[in-house]
Amino acid sequence: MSTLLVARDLSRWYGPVVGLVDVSLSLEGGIHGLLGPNGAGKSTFLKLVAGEIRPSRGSIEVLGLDPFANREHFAHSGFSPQQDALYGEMSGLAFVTFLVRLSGFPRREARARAARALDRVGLTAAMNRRTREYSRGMRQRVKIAQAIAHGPRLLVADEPLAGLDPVARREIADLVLELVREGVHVLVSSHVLHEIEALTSDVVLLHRGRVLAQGRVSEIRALLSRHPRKVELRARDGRRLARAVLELPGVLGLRISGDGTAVGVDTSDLEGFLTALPAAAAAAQAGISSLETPDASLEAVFDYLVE
Amino acid sequence: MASTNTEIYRPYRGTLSTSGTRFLALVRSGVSAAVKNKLPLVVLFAPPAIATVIFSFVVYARFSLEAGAMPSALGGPSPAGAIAAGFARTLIQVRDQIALFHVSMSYFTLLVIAWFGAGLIAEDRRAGAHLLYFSRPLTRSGYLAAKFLTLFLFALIAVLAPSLVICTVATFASPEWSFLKEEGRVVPASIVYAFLWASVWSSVMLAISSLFSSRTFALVGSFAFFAVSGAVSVLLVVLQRDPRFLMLSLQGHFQRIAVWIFDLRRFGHASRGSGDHPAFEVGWDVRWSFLAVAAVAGIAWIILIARVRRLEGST
Repeated sequence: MSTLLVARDLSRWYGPVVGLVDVSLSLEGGIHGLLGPNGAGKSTFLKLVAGEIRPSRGSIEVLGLDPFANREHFAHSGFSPQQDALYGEMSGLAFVTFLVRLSGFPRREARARAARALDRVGLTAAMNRRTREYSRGMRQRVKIAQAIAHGPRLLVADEPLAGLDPVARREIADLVLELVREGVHVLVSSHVLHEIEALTSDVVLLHRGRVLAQGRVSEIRALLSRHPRKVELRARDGRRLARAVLELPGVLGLRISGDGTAVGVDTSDLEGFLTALPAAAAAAQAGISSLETPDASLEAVFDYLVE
Repeated sequence: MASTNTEIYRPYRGTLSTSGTRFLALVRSGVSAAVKNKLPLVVLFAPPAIATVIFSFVVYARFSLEAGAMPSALGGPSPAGAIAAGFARTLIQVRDQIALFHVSMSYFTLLVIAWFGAGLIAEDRRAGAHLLYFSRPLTRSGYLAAKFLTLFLFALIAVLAPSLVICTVATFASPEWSFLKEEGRVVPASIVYAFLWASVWSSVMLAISSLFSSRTFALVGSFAFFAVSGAVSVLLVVLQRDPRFLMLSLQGHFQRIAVWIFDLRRFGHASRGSGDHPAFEVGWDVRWSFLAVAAVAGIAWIILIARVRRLEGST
């Protein structure tokens, strides 16, 4: 797979405010999530990728190009900013058309592309209405439409799912995944972990302008060896199950609920534990009804990393 | 939505424009967005339009009266000798009227500039629209040029169109094109004055707009600038009985430039000077006014460039 971007000691500050500090990373093509709380540096990083701003220090290459003020890069990338960014007095079609014209397309081609892009995000019926009449979800779609209308190889979307209702969120997420299937690289940010989890498991975790971790969520979690993995079990006879799992490899601690049906296990070897568990539970005839690994989620990983 | 549409985007096979005039798309969108809202257009442009019609009629009536073409109820034809003398006087009066109309309308046009200019950069900052522009091949200078041109067009239409209409009426109303032959330089003078006025005030208004991230605040800021500089200078003129205090305001400098460009025979703050045109001396050399106007425009552009550069620094 081709290299999407390479950042070397990338830093950006705004006067005395630090936006990003010494970020060095390399991302392959595909879809990547950029995660972090507000003020983590996500938007700064995305603006650097989009070529909106120049690094204060270090360098960044996107699809082999220095993105800042680079005409060739702009032809290959589309940016959907977090901000509202629309002109309320213009219709969705007029707005996207004029932005596509700014990219250098002839008038007729720009209008056709704008109409296609708006159709693609489900705004055909509303594209001649003023954008100030649009709902938040529709405005978000217009921003996506303007970012894909010129047929970019890379879509950079800053918080594209923020503030949307569940249905709109699902639709935008489906669209993004469809673009990925078509071969468009996507870099998407959010501070809501499950939004990113719904799109990709390849993430970059940012905190206070620094990269905390990068890679697949499961791989990152596996690296956090000082935190025992948690397993939550529910069983008909939790006490019998607890006695059985005590013998299993890597078990560091046990918790049993008051009614004796829930058992919490801390283990240093999750894989070994899960392999051995079925046999142990069967022998103990404990009757397991559910099993969860709550700290395998992105949220748990993030909590561990920032604590 | 997405699941029902499987169209794959085709790369564009044509040639993308690399012309430096692509920013004109931004001008078109700015003008188009501004004219979508009809009420301010009517409110702001109706008074100049009405004044233009009235002045046009007055100019037409002057020539008609001198030519004896008016109905007999208005006095009937003048004697031949009086007509010749009257024409010369009328030509000068019409020229002065056009110039004074220009000056007085330009005050009113400040409202047009403030209304259409206040949000041009401030609203982009508030909404983050510049993020969409700068992720495209639009340079900062292209962005500035587009914003300037948008406002400049509105200002020019508001300040130049009425005087050109009146000049046209005067041209056709005067017998044998005498207005064009004798006072024809009013037309280029109007154009030069209007271009100077519109470009300087557009620069000032854009600079004010760039200082705020809300259209409302930018409007307040612009009125504060107009009012403070204008009112303070007029107050000092009245209190000190010295027209040179008009030098404290940009409007005052434009008045002085108008006196010079149109070679006005009568002007409100006359009477002090002496020399070639004692009756309309306003108290200072016009070169100071050109210098002041250039300095204000220069400062406005320094602010604009600095603020637009800082747009990329907004988080």
